[in-house]
Amino acid sequence: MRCEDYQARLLEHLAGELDPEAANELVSHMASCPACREARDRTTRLWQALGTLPVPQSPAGARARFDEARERQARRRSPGAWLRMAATLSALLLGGVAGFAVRGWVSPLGTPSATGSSPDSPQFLLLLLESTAAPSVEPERQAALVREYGAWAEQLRADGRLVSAEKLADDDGLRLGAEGPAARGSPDALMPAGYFVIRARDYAEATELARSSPHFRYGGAIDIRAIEPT
Amino acid sequence: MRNPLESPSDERLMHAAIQGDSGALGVLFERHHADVYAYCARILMDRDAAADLLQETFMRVHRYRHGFSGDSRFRPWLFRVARNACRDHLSRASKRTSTEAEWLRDRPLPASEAPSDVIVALEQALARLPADDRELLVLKRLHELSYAEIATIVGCSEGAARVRMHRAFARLQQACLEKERVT
Repeated sequence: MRCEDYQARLLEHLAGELDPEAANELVSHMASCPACREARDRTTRLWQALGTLPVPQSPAGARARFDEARERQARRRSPGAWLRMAATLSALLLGGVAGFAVRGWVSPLGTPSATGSSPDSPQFLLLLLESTAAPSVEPERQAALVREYGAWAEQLRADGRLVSAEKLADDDGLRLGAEGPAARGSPDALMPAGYFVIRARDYAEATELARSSPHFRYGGAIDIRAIEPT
Repeated sequence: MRNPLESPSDERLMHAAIQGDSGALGVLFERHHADVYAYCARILMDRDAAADLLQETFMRVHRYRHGFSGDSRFRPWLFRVARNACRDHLSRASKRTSTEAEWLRDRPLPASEAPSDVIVALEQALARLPADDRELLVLKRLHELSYAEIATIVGCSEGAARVRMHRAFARLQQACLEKERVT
């Protein structure tokens, strides 16, 4: 073995990770090689100095801050508007809409007979984004909120524009194969909360339909993406 | 050292956290927050950011607890979560990273213990290294992790972790030599 091979084993030796046979071989080589002894001394000095670096001490109150953050998140994730919206959408999609009150909402595009989309119209994904910092909705306001979202969804359905809709689970999900988006996990990140697939002529019409959503009144945002026809 | 007969392992606590035991995560925080903070502070060279990243790391552990595999070791997984949080932070705030001088000034030292020249020179040399090198050195020397654990954390093979550690150490030696030449 050459000197550089022995020197390459010095770190493992210092960390106690060399097997006894290799360690003995290294030690006996060092005894007879001044150049390797010098390398060993240099490496040892730096290795030991590294081990004496001061360890940064975590700030006082870190545990309390963590507990508070978890409590805040639990409050934010408590069953609220989106949970109700999910039930509403499920009912809509299953056709169980009889008697559902649709009041005070007018389609921006008129009646289905005037504007209705055909099954061949392009499809668009409306990805509803919710601010993780948005305050949860007061219980007394939840019913009104459900009615607003429900009316919007029902009008899309009545116009023949609604292809599908689902609420996403109240967690942050996972991303594989790449680092998460920069804003992910930050206090005011916009996270996907649900989606609608609708039919519209073009982006302009899809945008107009999206703008009529009550979502914007609650600090939400909507990503609009055309779905590639297959 | 914990008595394994008296206190549950990290992995067992994670399993409890997955089952909804919120207290289990608190115990894990108590056990590991000092290490996570020290790691973040060394990688970012920014104590305020490290305090935030400590919180962010454990919030991610809470959020992604279902992604913890039952046959994994908790500690490397935790460091990997911390690493991802640090990388996200660096990509967001690359323009705001503290300079070496700020890091040194920021480092509070016990009043009775003035920094030796060796430590100051080493801190400065460490600060000049790329963050990836610093990370390897910190994981190996300060946290005394095995190459298998480091490989899990940084996402490479054990052999590659060993090679990268050797290169990082060689660059640190070089940086120290250059420092000696200047002073």
